[in-house]
Amino acid sequence: MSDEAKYLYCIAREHEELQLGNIGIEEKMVYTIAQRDVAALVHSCPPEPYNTGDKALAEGWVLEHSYVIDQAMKKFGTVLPFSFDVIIKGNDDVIREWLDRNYERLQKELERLADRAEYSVQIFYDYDMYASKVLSGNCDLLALKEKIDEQSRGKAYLLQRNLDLKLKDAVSSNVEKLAEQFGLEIGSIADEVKAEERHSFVPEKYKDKKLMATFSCLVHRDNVDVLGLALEKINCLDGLAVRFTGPWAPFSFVDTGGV
Amino acid sequence: MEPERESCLVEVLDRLLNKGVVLNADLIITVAGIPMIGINLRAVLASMETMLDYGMMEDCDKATREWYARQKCMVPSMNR
Repeated sequence: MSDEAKYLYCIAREHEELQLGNIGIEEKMVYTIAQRDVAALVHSCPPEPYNTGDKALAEGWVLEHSYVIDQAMKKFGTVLPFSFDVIIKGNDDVIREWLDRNYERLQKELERLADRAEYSVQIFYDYDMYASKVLSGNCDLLALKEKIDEQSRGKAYLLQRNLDLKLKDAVSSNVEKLAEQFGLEIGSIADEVKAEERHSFVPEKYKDKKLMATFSCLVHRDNVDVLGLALEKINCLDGLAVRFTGPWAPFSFVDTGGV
Repeated sequence: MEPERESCLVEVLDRLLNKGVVLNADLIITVAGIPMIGINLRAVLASMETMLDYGMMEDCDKATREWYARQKCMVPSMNR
């Protein structure tokens, strides 16, 4: 068994074998292994996974992987990004054989994603503003609020809690409808849109707001400005803020059909 | 509005650990005759993601940006 292995960063459209410098994980030399006009960006490593109990080190590795993908996008345009820590055991020829065997699929996917990139859209809202808007338009909740003022302190406390919960539900349903509407608007401009529900992380800048929705969008380069204009309109709406980031490699959209 | 090239650590982690091409496995395996390895650090990094989700590393934006800034200075260019 060979002691050689290759850490994979991404697949790009390139027919030449190039050295890209010591830009890899732990300053490893990243280079291309090409088969016809498709190339894998790799670095040589021992045939074992990157593994550590040190969070800072692991975090550094992930950022270094991400950095290589960013640089590859600048140089090659569209790339098919690999997940972190994907390693093939073997030498350059093994990678070439793998590229050759999967050439049609990789080539087709590069074609499908050509001139497109992934963008992330996060929409935040001001809860207090939406709550007062929802309250003023809801007769049942308004009646409950009036009732609170007439009650003794103990009972008023319980009713207030009841009102808060009902209001929270009403705001959630209102916000969900808005998110759906914004998703459709974005979907009419992007090639593909995915609503991300995995995490609810809110960057420091938007800490005073709540996250309404996160969308990953695959956008053709000719449509980025159009999307920017649509998002600007949402951003200008009262109590809303939009965070628009990218371009990123199409991590959410790449589909190589199990290569 | 213009898109910004700004990413928080939790977003980078989400992309690189949960998305992208995976060659089938967390363990050393053989697919179509080619031995492949793809082991991840999910145990270590997943707990980090949780911390970030709960806002326990609020300076992540800054830390990520600083890391990228350092790399931009250090890393050689990719010219042919």
